Amino acid sequence: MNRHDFFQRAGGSPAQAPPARPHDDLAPLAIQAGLEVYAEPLDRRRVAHLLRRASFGANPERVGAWEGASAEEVVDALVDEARAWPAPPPPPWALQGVPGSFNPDYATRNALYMQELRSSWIETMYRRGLREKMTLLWHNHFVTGDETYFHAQIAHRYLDTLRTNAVGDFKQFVYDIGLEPAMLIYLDGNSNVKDAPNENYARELMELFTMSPLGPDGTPNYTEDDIKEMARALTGWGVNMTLLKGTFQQELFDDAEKSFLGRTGNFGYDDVVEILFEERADAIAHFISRKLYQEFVYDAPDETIVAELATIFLDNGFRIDPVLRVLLKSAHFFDDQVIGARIKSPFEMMVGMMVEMHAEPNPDSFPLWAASGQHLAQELLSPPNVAGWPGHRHWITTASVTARWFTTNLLIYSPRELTPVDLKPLSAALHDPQDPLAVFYLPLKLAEHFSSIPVESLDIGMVEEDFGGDLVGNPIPETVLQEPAYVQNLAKLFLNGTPWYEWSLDNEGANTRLRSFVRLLSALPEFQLT
Amino acid sequence: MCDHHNTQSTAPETQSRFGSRLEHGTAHTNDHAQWSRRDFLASMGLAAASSAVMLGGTPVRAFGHSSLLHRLNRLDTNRVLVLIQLAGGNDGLNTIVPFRDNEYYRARPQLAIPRSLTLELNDDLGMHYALSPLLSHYGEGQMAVVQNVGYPAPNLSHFYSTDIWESASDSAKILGTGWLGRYLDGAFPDFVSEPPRQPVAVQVGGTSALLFQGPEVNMSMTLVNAELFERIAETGQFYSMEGIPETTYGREMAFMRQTVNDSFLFADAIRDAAQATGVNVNYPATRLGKHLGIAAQLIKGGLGARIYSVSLGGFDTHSDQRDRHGPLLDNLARSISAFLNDVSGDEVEDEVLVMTYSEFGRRINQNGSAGTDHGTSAPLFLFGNGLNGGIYGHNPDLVNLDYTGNIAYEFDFRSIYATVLQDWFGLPEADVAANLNGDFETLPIVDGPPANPTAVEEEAVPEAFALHQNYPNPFNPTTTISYTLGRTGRVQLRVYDVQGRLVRTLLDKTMAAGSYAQSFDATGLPSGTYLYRLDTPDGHQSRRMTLVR
Repeated sequence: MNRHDFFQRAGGSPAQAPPARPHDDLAPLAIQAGLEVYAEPLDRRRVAHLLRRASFGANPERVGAWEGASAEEVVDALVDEARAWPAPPPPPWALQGVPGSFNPDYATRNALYMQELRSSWIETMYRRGLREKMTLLWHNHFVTGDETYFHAQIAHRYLDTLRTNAVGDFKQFVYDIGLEPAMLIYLDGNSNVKDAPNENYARELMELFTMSPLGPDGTPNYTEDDIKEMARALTGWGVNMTLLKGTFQQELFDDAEKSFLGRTGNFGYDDVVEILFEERADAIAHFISRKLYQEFVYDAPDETIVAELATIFLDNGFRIDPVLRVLLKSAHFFDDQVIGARIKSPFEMMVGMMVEMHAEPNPDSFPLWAASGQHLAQELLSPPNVAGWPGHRHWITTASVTARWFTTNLLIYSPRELTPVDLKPLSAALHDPQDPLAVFYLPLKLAEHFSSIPVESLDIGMVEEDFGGDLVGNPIPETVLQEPAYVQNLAKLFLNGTPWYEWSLDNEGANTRLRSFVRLLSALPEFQLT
Repeated sequence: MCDHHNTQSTAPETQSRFGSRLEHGTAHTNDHAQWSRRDFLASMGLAAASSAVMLGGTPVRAFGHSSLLHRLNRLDTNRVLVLIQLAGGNDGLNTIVPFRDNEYYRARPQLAIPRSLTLELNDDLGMHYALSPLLSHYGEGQMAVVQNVGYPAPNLSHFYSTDIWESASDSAKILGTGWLGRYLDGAFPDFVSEPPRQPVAVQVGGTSALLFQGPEVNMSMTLVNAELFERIAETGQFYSMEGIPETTYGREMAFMRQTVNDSFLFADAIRDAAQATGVNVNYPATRLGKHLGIAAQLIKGGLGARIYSVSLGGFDTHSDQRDRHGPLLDNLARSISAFLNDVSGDEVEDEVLVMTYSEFGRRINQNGSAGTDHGTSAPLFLFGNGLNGGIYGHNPDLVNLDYTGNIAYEFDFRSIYATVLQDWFGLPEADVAANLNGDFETLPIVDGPPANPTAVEEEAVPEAFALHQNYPNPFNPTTTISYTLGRTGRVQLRVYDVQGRLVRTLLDKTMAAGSYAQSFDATGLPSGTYLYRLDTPDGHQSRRMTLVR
């Protein structure tokens, strides 16, 4: 009996498909390039594209170092690096016990710990690209929120598990995450016991975490009965609040026969994971490959590419990193249509901008970026619901656009009484400061650096005034006059009427101009694209 | 998070979220109000008020600004300042010519303007002949010339000196904010949390960002060129929906531009003001003329922005000055004259003040290429009905020079700023000093009382008490809150979190009149914004502070 028949005979309705997301009618990319390795040496724009998508922002030194390298070489370096990074040291309170009853002092301390955890995560994103990009992706996949589990120690463990598995073995990941206290509490595994089963985790495990209600061919992946039966197999696991870990209690386990996904037996937690990956391997591979595609390429999946990725995922025993390597090296990924077609998440925008400004952030500012994540509707460790942040166009509303401008302004100018960012190192990395024509080309380099969209397509108003200063004594060099109008225009905007021949990165006023120019770039609608 | 995306279709040109466009009326307002109250309240740097917006039963927005700031905001004035930057360093000596000074003619054998070609203002001084359109305005008392404006320890770099002028800094250290940014930040304390529907400052043409940089955001909107102004006037669109590449990323560009256009309320205000009045054609066909014409159109159309800035470049006349300076002054004079004539007769005619500034003047001696090099002090000009016309200050002293070998300053430029802030905009003296980081004497240029002082009296905030900004701020973990009491009474000083929960009572007792400082130790509290509130028998006042760990 095939699944479709089984479903018909079971007489139920298919597990309800998630409601269509408002932007789900986006058309997929219409491009020919497939998963073959991108053959050309990478130009700056493509190195930056890779770094923006596969980490946070385009570090200008990396862009410079990898320009001209092959996709093969650069992607392997990124993935190897992500795999090699050790876990950051745990906070000193990671193993602190929690009180048996609520008290306000503890609540205050816990709030501080949570803030510390969010801040240190942002800092880790800043320092480590791909690994943390994946960690954030999985946070939005295996969703939990601190409003249910409360304790920072639990949040830390959960985050640690996301990191550990971020570029590892997806099956192991599924196994580990289900036993995390954060998950046991968030999806009620904690109260799923023999005499009072709770189906919450079983449902989301299949619907959101592994395969979704419908398989790649459109047939249901599971039935309501599968959910009920699987929930029974998941009983017995709860959170030991002294050890702050998931523990099994035999007396709470439903120690009897269950039937789900076509298999029958006295199954427990381990069997659930095994059966899922044996019985629904293809569905899982498709579902996760689609997720990776949407994260790294475009919100509307190309199902042909997804299917090819799924095969790779299966062939590699559900290891995540081989899929990443193939996808990120591909001609599809580096196609011109892909670059700039994605809307940055708030943290891609914030952390990406920190990286792209190439200036060490003030350590005191991290709590503020954590708070601004909340204002931009991405509060770390507290997604809106179990489906996570919907992403892409959902990030953008008239309100959030305004908030993003405010955020970028603060990233450049810093909150009151913190030092504004120093953009001279960035400038020096982008263009030789000794070049006498630097003032004409640095603005272009900055615009290219901060924009995924080709600069000539940006709607930057043309300055009507000529260059300032004594143009008789210091005429604009002929090579500059040969440049497209937008190149000169960027230089005019940069100079704001001050004479070009006086510009030097050593000028005391240099940072003022750099900052206002970067502010201008960050206010462009296209700045929100990656 | 609330989401209005459901009406969206794929085609970008038809995209429109409910609540996102002006024609949806209230929904549009709510869209923004929702942001302002819930998200913007303490945006960044300021912790979170996600749901609770009540503070002690009163909506938090009522505490968003202190009474003092509120009062300044109520100095509601129609008065407008139009700034004209003369970029590059205008040659003051050839603008206002000291035709009796032999030293002038000795120093500039080729460049000096003969007395016969000047337009005499008094027995010693004449305007450059190209300024003839201004002569009638001078005669009508609409023009003031302030001689020898500069500052101590002058810096002769264009970049640095421009920043000094725009930030009103000491030459030792440039501030990161502009003098008008600071002024507007104080005048519109809710600019971020409750954004006004109209811009408070408009730059026409590519001018300075520093001038309007406030402590938190830039307070100005820039109309980078006349074309953009025309597009907004016609369509209300800030970013063009034309010419977007037909690619996938182009599709997302269209989505972003549309959303930004929708969120840019100021564009609607610009369009409304532009359409409320016709285009005046009597301006010279120069960019400056066009830009001043746009400013006049917006002022007359009732936009409500307080400051406009335009710029004219090319004053860095190191060579061939004779051929180049005259046309610049001609453009300047005809544009200003057209502007003054344009607003004259309109109800706003007495509410507009025009001021020029330039980063420095030029060297007394001409150089080897028939030009002049960078100098220091120079005259500055103000125009308008509301001022006492004439010449302020002494004739430039071409013998006793400053240490750079240039004309010594007689008036610090911040004295002019102080005059504008205090006598034109009616900013209290203490706030002027705070803005300019020092006390600068004002000049009796503005005719009549400062802007709308009655509004201050109407506001029922007695001077009986004052709550000052804590210091340091942000802080960790201790800070000091100072306050002044005008009379003896029972007072409470309390700290709340942004959700309105009482965090700490710092003081609750009867205090004698006087000034006090109360320290606050936030050990054990999470980072974020807190509100502190002083309750006195005469009323209460709140301010925000930020704990950063």
